[in-house]
Amino acid sequence: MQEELKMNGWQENGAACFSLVGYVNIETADSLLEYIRSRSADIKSSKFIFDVTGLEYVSSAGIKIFMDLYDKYKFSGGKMIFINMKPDVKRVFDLVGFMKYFIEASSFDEAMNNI
Amino acid sequence: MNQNNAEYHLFSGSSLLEEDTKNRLAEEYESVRKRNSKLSISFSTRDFSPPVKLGFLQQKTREVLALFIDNKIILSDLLIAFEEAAANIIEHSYSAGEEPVIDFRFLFDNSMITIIIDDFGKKGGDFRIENTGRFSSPEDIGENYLKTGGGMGLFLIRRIMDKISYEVKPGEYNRFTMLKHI
Repeated sequence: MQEELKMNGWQENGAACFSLVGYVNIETADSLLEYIRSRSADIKSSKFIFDVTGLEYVSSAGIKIFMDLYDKYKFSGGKMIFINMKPDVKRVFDLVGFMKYFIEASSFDEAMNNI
Repeated sequence: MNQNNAEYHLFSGSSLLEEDTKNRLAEEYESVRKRNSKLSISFSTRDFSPPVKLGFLQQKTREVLALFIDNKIILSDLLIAFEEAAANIIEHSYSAGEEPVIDFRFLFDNSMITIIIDDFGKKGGDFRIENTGRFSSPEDIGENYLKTGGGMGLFLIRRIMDKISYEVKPGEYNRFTMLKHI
């Protein structure tokens, strides 16, 4: 089993939306960062929705990407919402105390209502 | 190592753990637990064709840990600690472009898992685990990261593992050891 990351990005109601499936680790983090950068440049939004229903694993390499994104947009109305975060993925954010910077949602509709 | 302990060095070009190996290790684990001893499973970057990527090593580590750890949270925690430790070792013990030589050993017994990572990098000793003591809480690390952009990896290891140590034997090896009660 190859520990890969599949990404999909689109724009909806002014938010930059991403679907992440697989593993965000030191091997895949660079491609995630590059993908978010390229899509964000197209979408030009400070609001981000990540559907992480299919995300199996995240390490500090991935958390750093989300934190840097938060840091970049925190003073310009930025928001970051994670949909369907698995307990073991959420735990990593909790371990470093970062969940306070993000919003959790259980569905895409709920995420949209929070944007 | 105690003579009652069981040691296995795993190597295979394509799959680290074939089904019959898994079954043999499961039986051995039950046996060492009854004897109150340890099961040691090891592999090395030397077992694989270079370049050996960290993601690949983590995948092999997942296969080993998943043999005996059913709890998904504990398994995920251990993989996080492994990734952070290995990334730090590669960064601090080896120069850019240098192919790291690292030996990994996993010790299982009734109540704990110990992960021992030996590297042979010339830059050994440049890795300071005591620096992690400067964060006392997750809140500290969050605010610190936003200010400085660093310090998260080793803090995560400390949060996950019960004990860590780093030993440098110049000319021999640098050994990072992590222990967790399970």
